[in-house]
Amino acid sequence: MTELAWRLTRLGGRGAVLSTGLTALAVAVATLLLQFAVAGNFAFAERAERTEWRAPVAAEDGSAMIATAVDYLGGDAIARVDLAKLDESAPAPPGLESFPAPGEVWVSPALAELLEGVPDEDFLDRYEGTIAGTVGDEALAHGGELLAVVGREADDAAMTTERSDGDMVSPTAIDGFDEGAPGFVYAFYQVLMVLATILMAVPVAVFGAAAARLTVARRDERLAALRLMGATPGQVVRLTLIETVLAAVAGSVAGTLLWTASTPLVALIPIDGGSWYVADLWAGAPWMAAVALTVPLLVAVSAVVGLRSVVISPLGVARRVRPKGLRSIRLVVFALCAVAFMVGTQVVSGSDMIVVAVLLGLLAATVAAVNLVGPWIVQKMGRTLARTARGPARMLAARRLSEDPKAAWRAVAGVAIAGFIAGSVALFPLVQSDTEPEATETVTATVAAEDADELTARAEAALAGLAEVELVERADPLDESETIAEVRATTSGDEVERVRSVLTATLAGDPPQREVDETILSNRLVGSIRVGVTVVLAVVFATAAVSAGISAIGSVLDRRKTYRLLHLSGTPQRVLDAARRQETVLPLALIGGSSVLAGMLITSPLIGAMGLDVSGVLILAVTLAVGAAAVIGAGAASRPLLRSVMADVSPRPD
Amino acid sequence: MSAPMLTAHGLRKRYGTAVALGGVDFAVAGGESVAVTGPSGSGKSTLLHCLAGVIRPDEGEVRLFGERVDTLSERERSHLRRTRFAFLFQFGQLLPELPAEENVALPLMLGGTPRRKALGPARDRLAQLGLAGKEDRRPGELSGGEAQRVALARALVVNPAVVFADEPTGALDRATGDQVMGVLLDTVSQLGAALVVVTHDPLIAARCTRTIVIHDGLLHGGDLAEARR
Repeated sequence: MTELAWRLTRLGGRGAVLSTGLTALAVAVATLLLQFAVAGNFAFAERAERTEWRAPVAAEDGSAMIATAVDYLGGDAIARVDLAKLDESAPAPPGLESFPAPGEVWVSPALAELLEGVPDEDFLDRYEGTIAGTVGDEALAHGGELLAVVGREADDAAMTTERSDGDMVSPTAIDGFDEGAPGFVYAFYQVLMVLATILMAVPVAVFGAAAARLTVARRDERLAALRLMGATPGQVVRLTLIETVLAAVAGSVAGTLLWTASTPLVALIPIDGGSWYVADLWAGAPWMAAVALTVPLLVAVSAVVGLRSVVISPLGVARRVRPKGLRSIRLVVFALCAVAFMVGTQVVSGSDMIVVAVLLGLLAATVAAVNLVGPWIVQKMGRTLARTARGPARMLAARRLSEDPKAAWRAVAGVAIAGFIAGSVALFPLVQSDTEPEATETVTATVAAEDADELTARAEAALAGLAEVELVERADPLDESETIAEVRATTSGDEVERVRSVLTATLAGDPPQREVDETILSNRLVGSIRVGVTVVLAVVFATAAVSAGISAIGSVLDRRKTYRLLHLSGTPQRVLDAARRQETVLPLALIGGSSVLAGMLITSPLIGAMGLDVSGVLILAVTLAVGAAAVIGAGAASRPLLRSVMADVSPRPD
Repeated sequence: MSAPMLTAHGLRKRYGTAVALGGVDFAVAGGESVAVTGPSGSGKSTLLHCLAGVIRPDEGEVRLFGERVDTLSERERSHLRRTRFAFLFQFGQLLPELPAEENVALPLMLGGTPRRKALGPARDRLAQLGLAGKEDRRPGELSGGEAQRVALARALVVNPAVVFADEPTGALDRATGDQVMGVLLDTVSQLGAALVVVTHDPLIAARCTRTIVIHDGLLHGGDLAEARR
């Protein structure tokens, strides 16, 4: 059976080879993108895991003390881990050869590079130590991470002063570094990555399933011939299935290999201020194999469903009848999902994993339901346009849309999803503020209110002649009975790092900050989200363009006889080109527009009325322009094929 | 008999080394119907395509009302095929997603007539061919004979000078084929148009006013009896 299927493909002529090849190509692209989406989650998990040692579980009779802080230098934020040995059994932290002795500073390679040429009084003096070594990769989120591990005495103020920043670890006794909590940013990034996976995987899966129909559709006539020869329906289905699955397996293997080969390039995508270790993108053999197997399986299921809808009688092929109207239940399902998600974001609160998982599930359902409502809208639009069309191109396009709305939808589904994403993020303010030092700078350190006077006096003494020091006390906005004491030092922009170093060494606890420093980390986050959105949009567009191109080629092949006969009767190619272009552009305009609006609508309660900002509008505009161009361009790529099909005047080209 | 509408002289066409037409002369007048018969691969379809301006002959000329056809550009020949010629094929020429009336109106719309105006003559033609009440059906909802009559209505809606038919009844049973052929011959002669039919079927050839036999790219007289032998 397999051999027969193979021979049928090989001897089936240009059309069979082309459509089987297209199926394989489509599956390869789908597999590549799915491997990427899956590996992304593992990559973030890997990074998160490597940061866990910095927040280990507390131990009652610990052998060491740990505390963390964020230091700033210019426009950079540097993660700091303070360590002090309590007894000799203190284990060496990951990435370090030994437990850092007091006065030893271990730096990450990126920090070592950053500190080249920076005078000690501008940075290193903060730790009152010298650089003892380099932190190894296994302790770093990524190669570009700025990290300093500082060895201290157990009674050093840095090891005894509470951190008021909730994201930092206050001095804690520990026994080891094996178990801990991942860095807070990475918990957040991991949720975003799941979100990105949903948004990428849905169109990719739709597209992969559509690829199967390519081979099936092209088989109609030959299947009828096989039935005439006496093949049973079961045999015919099996033959087609074998053919399709062979193509899908080849595509899936190619896609997986392609993914493996492209990991060094993907590793360059900067997230959280650094590119990736290539090994992080290795999801592991079981997962990669699972993806590589799932895709052909999906294709096979889709092929069986597609075959069932083709009535293969021995005499003649599937007969076309009036297209069935798609039922409006599709709209209802979509509306229910969307409303559930919007209500869900309003009603449930908190950041429990369960809550996040439920919300993500609802979002996935909504995105998947877009695939239900899309064809319905396309068909409604086609019917309306068919009634009002004046010219031949519009009429042909409109009838095609109402005849096969799912095919038209597949071509624009990617852009719809992209529009939805761009619409959602258009409302996020993604502005990055400038963090360069100005002429006059003030750094502020929060100190314990009861020691405020003494600490201020100490800071004044240390900074005499270097900066103006003042103590500001104000009520805690969260708890009016508490007082927040801040020591502020004002100096020139040139001296700010020196002042900061002195102040850091003098006042333990939260390192002094310029007001703008707080935005360094959020800038980094915003930058990462922007990169992430761009990557997701790129993936979705690649899907949209390839799927539009393949469905255009598929529709030309499907209708090659009719096109040829239309050409014989003098139909100009430009009318057919215009009709084919409108088949894409009309739903693109309507669905692209409404998906942007839907995206805005669905995230607006989540974000509140922050208003549009320039970068969001820019992303939106670029998305729509690139998306439309990609889809239209991919459709136009089948023009030479149409020309050759139309010009084929050999007496019986099939 | 009136003067010839469509004439061809010394047509030669080769595909690679294979000779499809080896020097053919041809003429057909208005109201006349010519059957082109011959074995498979004899050059029947090539002759039809040359006459209709689908392909250009390597040598020789084709004239419609005395004007050269074969020297026109592809665009001009397309226009000619759309406005002065009409085609009827075995099957597959109707667009499956268009209702019958829109399939028939399509050639008029391609010529620039707005749809509303094009639908009138299209419905008239359909009614004339006994398809009143079925204007809204899609090709898949029609019987083979009905679909072929829709195709005929589409061919005739532009009031062509010459109708080219390539095995027009090949996909139909004998009775239906006879009926469609009868309608074809009747309506073409009513229009005063010329009809060129490529066919294998001697019974269809017998209903035409004249038969030519083509063999290895060469014409063999006009005698049906000779063709049968």
